[in-house]
Amino acid sequence: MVMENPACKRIFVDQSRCLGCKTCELRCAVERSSIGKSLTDAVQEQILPRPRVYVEWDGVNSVPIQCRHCEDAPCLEICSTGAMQRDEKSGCVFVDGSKCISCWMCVMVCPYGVIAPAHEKHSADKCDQCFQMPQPYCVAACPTGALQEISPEDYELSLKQKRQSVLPT
Amino acid sequence: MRQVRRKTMDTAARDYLLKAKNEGLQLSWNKYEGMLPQDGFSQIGLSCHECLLGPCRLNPFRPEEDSTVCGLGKDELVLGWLTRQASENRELLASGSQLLAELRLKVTANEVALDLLQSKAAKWSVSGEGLGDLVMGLSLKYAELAYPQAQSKKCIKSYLKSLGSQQISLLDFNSDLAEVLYGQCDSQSRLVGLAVIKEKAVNICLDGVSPTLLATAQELGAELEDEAFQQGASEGLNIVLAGDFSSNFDLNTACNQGTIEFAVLTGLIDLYLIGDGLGKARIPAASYHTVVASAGSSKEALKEVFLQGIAAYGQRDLNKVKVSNHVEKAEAVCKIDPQQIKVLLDQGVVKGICVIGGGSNLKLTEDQGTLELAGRLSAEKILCLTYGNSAVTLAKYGFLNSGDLGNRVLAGELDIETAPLIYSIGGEGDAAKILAALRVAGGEKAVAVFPELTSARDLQMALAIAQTGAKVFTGVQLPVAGSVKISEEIGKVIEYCGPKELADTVVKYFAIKE
Repeated sequence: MVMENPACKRIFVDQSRCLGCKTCELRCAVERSSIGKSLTDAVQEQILPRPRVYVEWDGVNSVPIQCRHCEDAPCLEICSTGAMQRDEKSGCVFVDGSKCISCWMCVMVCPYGVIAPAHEKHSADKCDQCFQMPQPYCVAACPTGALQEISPEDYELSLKQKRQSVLPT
Repeated sequence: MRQVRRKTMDTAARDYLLKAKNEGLQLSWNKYEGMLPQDGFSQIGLSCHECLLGPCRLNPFRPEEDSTVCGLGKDELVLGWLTRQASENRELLASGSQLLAELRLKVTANEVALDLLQSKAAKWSVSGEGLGDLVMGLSLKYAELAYPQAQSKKCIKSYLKSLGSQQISLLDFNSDLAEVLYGQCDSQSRLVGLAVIKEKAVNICLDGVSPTLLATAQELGAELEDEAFQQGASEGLNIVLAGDFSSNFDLNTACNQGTIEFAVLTGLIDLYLIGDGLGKARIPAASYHTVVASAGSSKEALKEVFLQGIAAYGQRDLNKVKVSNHVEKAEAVCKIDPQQIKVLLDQGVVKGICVIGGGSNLKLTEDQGTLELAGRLSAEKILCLTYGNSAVTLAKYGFLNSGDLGNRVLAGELDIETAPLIYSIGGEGDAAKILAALRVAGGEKAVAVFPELTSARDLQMALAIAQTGAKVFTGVQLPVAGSVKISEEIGKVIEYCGPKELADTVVKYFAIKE
């Protein structure tokens, strides 16, 4: 599905630029899950907003991880109610909360562990790459540009440039 | 830069913003915008770098991250920040020590007016038969004021208010010592504006300096005037202040804290001396001939710096000079009579008192909030009292020019017969005079508004005013939202109100009171 639309963009991470500041987490929680839509209001809400991006750390490096919107998405395959869907235009996988029965099968099969069981709303919770917005909030918030939204083709180009830069002169 | 131009309403500043752009200079506004978004954890008070075990941060959206490595929770972390701000008194301690040492020297040399010393000592409940006793008594009083008094933290509001009041008392104490040592100027009339920086003088700009340093600077100014003439400065040596007034010395003020960079952008500041100020003008100064220095402790060290400044006069780049013609006259009321204010309130001549403080927080509108408040409230017959940086801000627009009836900015809004009810009581050091007035006139008939709360001193003043029973509003969100409990408590003392709604809120508050 993704490959059929070359304009589809994905969130790529430049790990060397990630400071582990978790600004992406804060922004995601505030913009996508809170009622108040401001950080100062969000932290005081009864049910705390949930970020859909997770900054993880291996002891040396930190990296933000969110749904990769896999081409062969196990969550999409296993969902028995059709709550897990793919947006045709952007290729992004998202959850239709009204159809979700909280069986958490998607949570179990996700290879990245980025689908969360949101008990408070009786639905799985995951990144949909803000596909209805001009830009994902986490990308907009990242102060170092570690998160970038680009097409796989453009990313391929940057990889080519990277390879060329290490060629012996 | 277009965004920056929208940030300030200072017409005199627009030329300098353009100049900065043409010279490729990054000013504080640009720096601020360049680093956005700000650190969210700090913004809500959930980060800590007090020790080297950290830095720690508590993620508000991850319940498992609820404690710093030393065990502080969200409430303690936020309260810790507030406590540090409310008790921050480093430069007050330094200034007080200098003043006491100076007092001892002058008393020994018999250079102190005994009557004044006795009356000030009596104000602080210090008595004694000889001068030595008074000096010792004042030293002990200083020690008492300097350290936080043990108090239960159970009532957070009272705890913070008393901490803030304690620092303002220390400020008042220092101000009294300064008056004993250096007297008070007969005239409290000053000039404000970039035009006080003279083209043919060695210009020395003092930012956040103590009274002792001001005295030394005055002495050096007289001593080194000839050096300035020898350098070709036909108008000699010109000392100006930034962001403050002085009641003790007859010095003009070039700008408020928000536009201090423009003073350097005139290309005419030869020495920029930073005391405890933010020192924001360091950014453009690096691209000019301006010598930047931190205030030294001895006269010799300061003389060395002054000589460097005088030498810098000859290194001015004339292509970068842009002279301003903006200047306003500003009056201050040296001694306000609280009883008289009380009478005016009782008779209904004035509806209430509004203290306007703070200023120059570049996250906000820069000046506009302060001006709008002063204009609206004085038109509503509310007596506006101001001091320090906010007074400079108002003076810059002619609001404190009492000689000019109705003053120019307010003329359109006010009845021609109506005198504006805006008074400055002097510099940051004089802030405590306002508290004395509120205690007599009744804090419950007063509000304090800090449209642009900026520094720890502003916060302390806000807390001290709240201690008198007055309502306090601010247009700046304090970084305390990370703790629901603390933000609720502090919100009862210092209420946040959107900058655009501040004036309306205060007017409505007085209407409700009636």
